[in-house]
Amino acid sequence: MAMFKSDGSTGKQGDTIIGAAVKVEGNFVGEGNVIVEGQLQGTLKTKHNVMIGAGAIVKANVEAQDVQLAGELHGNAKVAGKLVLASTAKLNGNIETSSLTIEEGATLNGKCVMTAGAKVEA
Amino acid sequence: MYTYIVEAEANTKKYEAELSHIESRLIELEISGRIEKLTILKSLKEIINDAVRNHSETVVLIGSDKLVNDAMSTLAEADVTIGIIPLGETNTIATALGIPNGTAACDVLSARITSTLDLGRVSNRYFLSKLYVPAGSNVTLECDSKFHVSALLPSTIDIANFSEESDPRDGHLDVVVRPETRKRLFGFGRASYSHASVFPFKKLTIRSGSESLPIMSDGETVIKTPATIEVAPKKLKVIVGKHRKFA
Repeated sequence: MAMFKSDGSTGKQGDTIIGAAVKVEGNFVGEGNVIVEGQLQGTLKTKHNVMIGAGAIVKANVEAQDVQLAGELHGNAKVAGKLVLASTAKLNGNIETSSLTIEEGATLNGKCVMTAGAKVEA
Repeated sequence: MYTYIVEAEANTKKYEAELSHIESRLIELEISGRIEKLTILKSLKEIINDAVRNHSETVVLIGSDKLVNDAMSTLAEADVTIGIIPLGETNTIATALGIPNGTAACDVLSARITSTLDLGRVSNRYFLSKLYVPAGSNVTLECDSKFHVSALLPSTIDIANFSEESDPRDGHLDVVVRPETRKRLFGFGRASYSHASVFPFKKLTIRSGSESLPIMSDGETVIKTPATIEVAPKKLKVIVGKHRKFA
């Protein structure tokens, strides 16, 4: 899944990066891709893609085009495109997506609804 | 009509030959105009206001980033096109705008490709490139009255209009939070920084608990925290080069 650069470098112009040493609280509505390596609490919406890194903790309902989850998500995920749960992912919440990939080792506690393409309103 | 403003530091023996070449090239290109050299007796604001009163359509700043930054608050309120001829040690703004140093910049002026850029504003002062806050604890950011960002480690803060992360025409600024992960020993050696956080915003309030931190530009304190910084979209018409760092 080539949503983000594979070399570990972060983002391009317009992207939001929540680094490991910050905590974000509130209603976050992004206009570009959102990369979470730290903590986020509230809501997270973007018409673009979200990547939640291995050490990240997100306590929020997430709406996005594609979501790649390697950290913890406590909340519901509404994904218009692809949802990928990496082997380190922990998802406690319901998901609505049109494409789901779960790697061995990932944890999913919640209901899953497969749709033709959930609409994201950000 | 063109008005050229020469920074005091550029008006020295060191740059005498280069200034002479610049004047000759401007005449060759038929874009010469009134040349004003900054001295203790002539304030930058006064010269710019005179240029506007005399119907100068283009004000060209000959000097370093410091001159560009110092002129920005006055130029932002004037209906003129801005040009830059970089001269001096620090010219990161001109580089980002695709303008080569010295005499070569005259050809960029002559080609006259213009771009209308956003500016940042803090307490009625405008800035074109960036502001920064030295490392401090308990720094919190309120972005667009929607969410709060708390730095969990002492962090430096950059507020950038254009940089690798930010396009100066996109209608927002970016705040970059860089946590300091290794303290300098007795103030010596280099501090080390972990991955930065980047948040685009239109309006940002910076707080730093009970400690007041300086918000700086070119080594000078502009204001202290708490402070609110906003974008002023499409505020400045600037002559840019082909090799600028944005499309």
